[in-house]
Amino acid sequence: MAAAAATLPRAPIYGIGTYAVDSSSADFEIGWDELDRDTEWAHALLVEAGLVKGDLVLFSTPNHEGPWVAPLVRALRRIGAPYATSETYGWDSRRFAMYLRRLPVRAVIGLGGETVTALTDSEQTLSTLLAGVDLVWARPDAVSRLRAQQIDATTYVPLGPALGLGLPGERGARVNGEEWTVSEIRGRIHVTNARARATRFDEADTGVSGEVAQRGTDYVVVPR
Amino acid sequence: MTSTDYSPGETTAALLERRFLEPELETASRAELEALQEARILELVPYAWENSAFYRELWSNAGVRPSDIRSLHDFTTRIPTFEKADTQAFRDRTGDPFGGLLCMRLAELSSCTATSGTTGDPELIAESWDVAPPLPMVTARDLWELGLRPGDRVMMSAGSFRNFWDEYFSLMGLVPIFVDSWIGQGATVLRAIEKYRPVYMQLHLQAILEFERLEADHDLRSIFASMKGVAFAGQPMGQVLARKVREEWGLEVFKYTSAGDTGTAWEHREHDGYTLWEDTVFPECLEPGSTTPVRDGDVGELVATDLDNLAGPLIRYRSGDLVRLTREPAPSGRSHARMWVVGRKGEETLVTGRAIVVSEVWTAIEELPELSDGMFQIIRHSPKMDRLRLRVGYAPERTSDLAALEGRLRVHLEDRLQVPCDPELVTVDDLLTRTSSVAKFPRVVKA
Repeated sequence: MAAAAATLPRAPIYGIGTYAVDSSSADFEIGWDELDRDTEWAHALLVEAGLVKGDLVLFSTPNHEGPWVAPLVRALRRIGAPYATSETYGWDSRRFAMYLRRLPVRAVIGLGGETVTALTDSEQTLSTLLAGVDLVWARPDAVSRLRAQQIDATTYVPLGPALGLGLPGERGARVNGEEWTVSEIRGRIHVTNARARATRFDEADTGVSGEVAQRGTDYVVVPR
Repeated sequence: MTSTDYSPGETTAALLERRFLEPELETASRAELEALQEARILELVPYAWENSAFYRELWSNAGVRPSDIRSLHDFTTRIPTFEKADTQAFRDRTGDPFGGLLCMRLAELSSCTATSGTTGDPELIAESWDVAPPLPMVTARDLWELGLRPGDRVMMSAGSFRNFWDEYFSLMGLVPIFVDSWIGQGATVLRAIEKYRPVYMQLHLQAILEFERLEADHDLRSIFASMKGVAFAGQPMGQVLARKVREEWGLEVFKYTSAGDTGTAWEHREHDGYTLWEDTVFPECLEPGSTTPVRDGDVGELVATDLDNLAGPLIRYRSGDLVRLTREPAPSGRSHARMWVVGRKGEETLVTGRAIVVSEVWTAIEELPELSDGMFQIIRHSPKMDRLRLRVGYAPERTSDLAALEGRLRVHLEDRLQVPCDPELVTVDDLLTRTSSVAKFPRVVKA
């Protein structure tokens, strides 16, 4: 079936993403060129973080986060690192824990507050489950709670249309400075696209509160 | 038969008009299908013997070696069947997380997913793929049949536990709309459908019930008018809800189900059985508890063999699904087997010596207007019970006197089922909060 599907005309764009800003929803198109560039950037960051061929990565992300997760999955495929999937909801924490108990997971991406809450109350503590995991990318609502349990975690955060992903030992999440200009306006993170994308963003409110600093060619965002 | 079925001179327009994505494969003769299956199985058996500790042990214990298997007949008469408990026991005994099924090194996998885990801890599923994960990929002919064509917009499915769907949609030329469609997002989903006019979405029971509550403020028939079809799985849809979705909302529902844990099997436009793509799965329908095949169309247990999975193939796996299976060609001209799901092995609940099955409870419950959503769970506290305990979801907006409803329900159930019944009424929302999966709503739960 894959061979038949591969002969079909290609979709005009990768997809249409959505993100929440306060109580409203913002939409954006994602083109193929920017998906390729986002993958390049994600690949460089994951390699710098230390992921290598054969490492197992556990996602805790829903399907609708594709615009932010797809560059990571594509980068992992290029590295040769297999991945496993689980939901972000508290009720699916059993699956998340099952992977950690049974498989040699090297990294986790997208660990969120609901899962932390569910597993904090479980028989096996999070610190036990994550003991063998070298790299934990957690959502802002989970990072400080993990650190309170002596679990070293860095940040994974969708920032409006942009992806924020931290490096181990670094506070906050990096944003690709070649692709985005990031600013803080009245305590909220705003983004402007620096290169052409299918949708143009001009100081678009990401709905995320935080601070911004420049580091090298990238930005570092620390969500509040 | 070729793998792509495309003639070099065929125009894109002609291709897009075709009903079948792969006409030659989809309408292959029975002899062609069996030749293909035999060729794959004769490769699969020595491969699994060489690479899977579980199969080597299982087959050795049965006195079978790969060299004994030289035909489909040898395969179905000599290779032993197994069930989930066997791989779980292997895992418990050896510590192998894949229960001995894994046929390659973990580091060589593309991805790893897990079963829904409705009846216990999720079971690992090893995946090895080139362009898109296997579970979405095996639906290519089915979504083509549903009417999806390159350029169409589709709503992204809610659950990621069986892998991400974006690569597959991209491969099919489709444009996914990434909107959170989990419980509580009904209004957001409707807004996205109104704005982007997608042609396809995956429905789950919770979403249908949510749309039902939003009906008063939304013209659902108009909002859903762009849809070519919707997919639905995880549990049977009650007749009342099905009528509402189809007749009032104007949605054509394509149900699908598990193909014995090797992939999925979908309804097609005639809605006459689930199609098992026999170039990806070798299905058998056997008497439960034996290896005797049942006659075409009779009820038996679906026993499945993966033909397209080198990572961790299931080989003569007893799925526990009770089905009717036919190899008669479909009215569409497709030649692959079709099945109709009757229930799960062991799903019957014994009450005062009478075997009660889910479908008869369902029919009885949805006959009461306040309970027409058909939401209920049988609470089983032992294999044999003196009374049938039920948790039933009612619609508060259609219920004025709860105590009276409970009394009427008890009498109605006892009249229909002929066993003593103890129904407990809870709101539909309350019942849904007890779900442990986006994919399945368990109808039988432990006390």
